[in-house]
Amino acid sequence: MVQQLPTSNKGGSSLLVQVQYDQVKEKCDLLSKDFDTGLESVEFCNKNISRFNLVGIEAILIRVICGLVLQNTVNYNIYKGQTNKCQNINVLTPDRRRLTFVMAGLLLSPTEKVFIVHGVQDDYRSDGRSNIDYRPMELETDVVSHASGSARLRLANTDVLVGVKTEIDIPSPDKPNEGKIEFFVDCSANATPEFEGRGGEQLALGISNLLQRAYHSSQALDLKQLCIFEGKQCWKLYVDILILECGGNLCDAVSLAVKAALFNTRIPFVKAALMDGGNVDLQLSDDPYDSKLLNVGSAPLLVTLCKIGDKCVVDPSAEEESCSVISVIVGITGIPNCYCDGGDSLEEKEGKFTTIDMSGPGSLAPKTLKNAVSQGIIAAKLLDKALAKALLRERQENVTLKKHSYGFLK
Amino acid sequence: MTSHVKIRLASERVNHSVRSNNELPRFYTPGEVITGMQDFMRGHGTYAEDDSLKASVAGVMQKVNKLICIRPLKSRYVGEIGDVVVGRVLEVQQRRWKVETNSRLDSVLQLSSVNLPGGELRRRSVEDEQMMRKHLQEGDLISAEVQSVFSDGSLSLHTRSLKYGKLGQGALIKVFPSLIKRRKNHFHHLPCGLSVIIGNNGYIWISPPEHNNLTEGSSKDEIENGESQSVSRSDRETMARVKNCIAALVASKLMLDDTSIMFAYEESLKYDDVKDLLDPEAMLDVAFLTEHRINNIMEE
Repeated sequence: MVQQLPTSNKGGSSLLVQVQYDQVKEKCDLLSKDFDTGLESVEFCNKNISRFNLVGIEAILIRVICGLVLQNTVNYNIYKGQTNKCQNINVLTPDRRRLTFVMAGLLLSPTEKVFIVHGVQDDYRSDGRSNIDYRPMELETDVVSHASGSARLRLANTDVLVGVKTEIDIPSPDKPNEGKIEFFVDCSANATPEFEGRGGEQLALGISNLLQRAYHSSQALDLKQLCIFEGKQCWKLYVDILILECGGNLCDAVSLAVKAALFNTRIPFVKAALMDGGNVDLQLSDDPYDSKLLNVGSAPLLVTLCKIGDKCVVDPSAEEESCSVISVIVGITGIPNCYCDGGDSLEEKEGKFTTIDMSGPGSLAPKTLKNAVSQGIIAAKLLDKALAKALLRERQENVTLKKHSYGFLK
Repeated sequence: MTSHVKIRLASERVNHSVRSNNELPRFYTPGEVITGMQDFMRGHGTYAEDDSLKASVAGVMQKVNKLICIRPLKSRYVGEIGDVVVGRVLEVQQRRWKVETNSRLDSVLQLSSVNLPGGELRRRSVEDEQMMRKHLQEGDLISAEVQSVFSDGSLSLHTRSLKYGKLGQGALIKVFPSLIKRRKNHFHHLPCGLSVIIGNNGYIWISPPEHNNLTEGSSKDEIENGESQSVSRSDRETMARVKNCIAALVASKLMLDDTSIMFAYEESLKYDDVKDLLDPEAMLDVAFLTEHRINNIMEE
């Protein structure tokens, strides 16, 4: 169900959108009915919503909800329109909880905050970056020898290790020709003392749900390539994410590392299949090089946009995070062309919007949300290009040279 | 135009060491035998076991006659009287503030060891104690001097001088305390216009030039004005450059003082865009050139 609950906050009317995840099926009619307030045109290309032509803030709302609810990516394309209907937007995740990434305990004096906020306003942050600049990252793939694919990413002080494990599973009855993917996040207590005991559980669950939603679309990652035997057998990918160090901007780092690990994943070829009544007995190739790589070009990346003052920044430092009351996390699909050799000349596809989430106690004005999302799309594109370049370069290096693992020692 | 996202591979990792000749001192790890016990005295960072002296921290040896100490490379700040520190107020308590100064225990700033703004004389009254939060509140940064060291190692601070007190706008950088060179003066006005406080506790405060005159003589309005004014773009750029230079020096484990920071700043000017200095190669380059210049001066 999609509910529209006008609540009376101080400072104007505010629209709270609550989404009950399990009850909403792919029914566009339902959506259009509930949002039957002041919509100028609602256009659905087909039953699987692939494109919206909506006007104004409702468009964003529907997109937001669709990003959450429907198992289809939505073309992100907002037209200018009236945005005076509501002042603030809150997005609640299916489990109705906000993610909290902001480390507690970091104190800043009011004057330091003023300095940071003015810096963001000026588009010049305290280390010389502009609002869309990331700090340099370091990436290494194939670091875990026992995993089918692995990657380690370090972004400033954030350190993430991702391993991908493959297993044979039975596809779900409603999607007989698709494989499965599952995410598990482990927040090591080494990362920050706050993760000790059960401290990191909430965050871990939040991130894995977010990834699950971001990948839950045929346009994000084509799960058909994981199919072995339609209706009978498929590959299931277990993506294990280990957070080794936590230095801000966790979501972006995790999504980059996941994509790199998936890029690195090798799935063994099936040599023979024995049909025994209704059961299928597979014989896999033993040779580790006799395997196929996944096509992960369109896998989504998460971009966290931290609202400081009136503007949003990507890749906030810990100090900057503590200056903001809300950040928006958007999931944007990648550009497949970048991941094939010499694919630059081909026409670039626009990234599509797969999920949205917010963290922090605040809410956003529609205009800010709109700006944040478009900034997120730009940032995701840049991230994806850089990631593709790095991954292809590493693959090339490994062809010519024998693989030498660098690991964690500096 | 440089790219907004840079992803490098682990194979391209930069070694930040800038020592060209092998003059690195012997490095001891915890539990390592330093010497036999016979005629040596046990100093800080060592312990005696099985008739031999062993290191209890990771660091380099210092020997004074018969006394052997191991100085740790990474450690909390161990305060000494007269040190200049930069700290953050954590708590307002009865007649004192708790201040975080990167030492093992939180430091204390007594109400009796501060000068009130405006040079106002303090009356030892209840109202005076109730005004404490107006003067310094939780989260505020201060510069102070170590007045005394308690028996448990915690520090007592004082700000009874015009140069100490609450800090305005600026940026704080945290480095290892062992990288700070002890100097007569830790308050510097760099030739590039900024003022820098290099705290002995490893906290370095960079502030833009206009706002360094927050003395006790100025009125309250002036102080508040200075606190909310926007810092100009050029000052901001210089501050970012100095900040990144310090980060580069720290990555290469070079000692920090006004000379090395200024040398690094001058060497970094060849990189037009300040954010290029976040690149490990650029950091190494700046650190290497700085080390070279410092060595040249030492030889002369």
